[in-house]
Amino acid sequence: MAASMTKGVLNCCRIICQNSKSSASIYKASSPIWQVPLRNSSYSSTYLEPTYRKADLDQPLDASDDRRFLPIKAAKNDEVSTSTLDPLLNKFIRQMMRKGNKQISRLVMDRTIERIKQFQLEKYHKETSEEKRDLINLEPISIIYQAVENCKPLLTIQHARRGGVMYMVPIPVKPSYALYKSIDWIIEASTGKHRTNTDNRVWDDMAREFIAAAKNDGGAIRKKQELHRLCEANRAYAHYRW
Amino acid sequence: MFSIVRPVLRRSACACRLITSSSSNNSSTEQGSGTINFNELFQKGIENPIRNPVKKGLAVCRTNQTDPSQHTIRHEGLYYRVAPEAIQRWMKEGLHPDIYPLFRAFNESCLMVRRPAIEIMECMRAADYSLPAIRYMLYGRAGSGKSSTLAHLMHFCGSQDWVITHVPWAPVLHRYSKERVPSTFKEGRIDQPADAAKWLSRLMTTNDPLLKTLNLKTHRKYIWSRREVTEEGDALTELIDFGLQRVKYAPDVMGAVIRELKLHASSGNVKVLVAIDGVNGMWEQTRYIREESRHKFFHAQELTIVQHLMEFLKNDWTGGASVCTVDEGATIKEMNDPLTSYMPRFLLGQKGFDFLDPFIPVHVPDYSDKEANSCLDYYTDRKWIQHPAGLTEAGRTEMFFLSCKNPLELYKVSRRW
Repeated sequence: MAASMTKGVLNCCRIICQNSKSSASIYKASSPIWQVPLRNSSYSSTYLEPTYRKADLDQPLDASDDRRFLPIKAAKNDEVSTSTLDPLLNKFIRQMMRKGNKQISRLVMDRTIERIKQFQLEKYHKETSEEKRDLINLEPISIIYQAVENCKPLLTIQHARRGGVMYMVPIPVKPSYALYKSIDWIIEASTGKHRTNTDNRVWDDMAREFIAAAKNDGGAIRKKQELHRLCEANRAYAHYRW
Repeated sequence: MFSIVRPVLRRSACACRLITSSSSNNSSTEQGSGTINFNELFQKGIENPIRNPVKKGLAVCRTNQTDPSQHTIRHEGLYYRVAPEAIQRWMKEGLHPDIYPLFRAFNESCLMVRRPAIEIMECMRAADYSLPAIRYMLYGRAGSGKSSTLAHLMHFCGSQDWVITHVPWAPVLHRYSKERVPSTFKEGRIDQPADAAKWLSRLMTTNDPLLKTLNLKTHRKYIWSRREVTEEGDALTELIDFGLQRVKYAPDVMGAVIRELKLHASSGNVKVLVAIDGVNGMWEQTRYIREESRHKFFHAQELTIVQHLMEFLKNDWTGGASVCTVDEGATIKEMNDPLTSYMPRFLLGQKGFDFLDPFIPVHVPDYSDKEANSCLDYYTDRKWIQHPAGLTEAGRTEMFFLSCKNPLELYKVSRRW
């Protein structure tokens, strides 16, 4: 075990060294903002991802499956075999977490889902005509997915110095950054200090924010539009990306 | 009569009440085939997952019998609809705070008919009201439905024209009261005029049309000050109104009203229900600091309101009943202690138990199989359960496992589904 661990660490170090070299070379050409440093993994690269979902576990294992011969990582804390497990919600909970208080973060997410259902059901049960009823989306998960999708930016701003002047250069975003930024804006819009009624609970405001964002409305969507407007204003400097 | 009250045994086998077998089979296969690849999802951007509409449930989870005085053991585990007026009168306060948004969302307010409530109802029907008032004590784990049972019983008695005096949460009296003055009536006691006025106003709102039609009179003369006097033979509503106008005298008026109600109940003019939630808070230390030392606190027994309510809990009067709950949340004992218990003897302490003894303890258990299934049937009917897995048999089993069928925990688990 110890031998494999040291081997793993060495492997990682090599990767980092290679990476840092390449990043340095890129840095000279243009300053990259997407460079993410690799962290040391406690597992060697030979380790496989764990299988923890009940549906996956029920499927038969081939005679030639890698999982029969190679070591497997331990499952993470939030990787459990509940039916309600959702990758986006887990990401949201992780990003919302402050000071390692995951319990609180999870509670806020649960209560947000509760509030979304309550707000939508209130509209649904008060609506008398069947046609209008069918238009109301009652599924909280689908509303959250829609909201996050709507808040994703297409472009962002990168600063570049040319001839002693800082230019704001619009560049396309990576999908992972778009997801991060979308979630960030939703969290900020529902928890920030700019809120008019600070007596409201976080989950109340967050549920309203999700429902609004699913309809392309609300604070997070406005943030996205502001950024897009800024990119549009600086489109003349787009060629400074190279 | 007392043979009815017994610990409720959980019934093991229960008919499966879920929808139709074909629909549940369909959704289970969908669930089985759907595996999620995290990396793929994040790379291509997470898309809106498509969910198939689920067939309507056919399970029976409601009863048309909205009159609680007609409820019997046949209605066990079924939901009955409470009229908005009844909610406004008897259940405006006292239920769990999470249930009110749910009432709003469902556009109706329903309570489940449960066995402990039925047991007490049977006792109340069979009781002889020429004998001293019987005290019923609801006890059970946190979130098992003690307050809901109390609300059901208040609805039961209220629909039969009982006068109802309700204290939604007794510990409030000795935790959050802002206005406290030394009593003028008796030395060493503390008055809380605002809280007493609140109790009087609640008495008026819960029994508003009834108190006026009954036209109860006072039995003696009360002298509040040199000019303010309540004569013998004045209406009881006038006395209550006086307490609401002159808040300074509200704690003493409360005592007078309780005395009058006891006398009227004893003479058979009216029946009175005393409903107190978290009664064990009346034998606890308060959070109010004494003047002589920062480290000494007043005891709840020194509060005037508590003393008056204890007059009501004595069994020296006839023609009524009192229903109390003992709650773990109402005590300031160390709840992390593994030796804690939800039993009345532990929560009331020696003094409280001696005072209330004899009483009829009624255990409020967690949901049985039938009740838990009925609860989820109702949630499904109201479209509260949205996750497709929640409509399958396996999903239900998972929810029951996560919540231990505790009503509050089951609701908390169902938030995510």
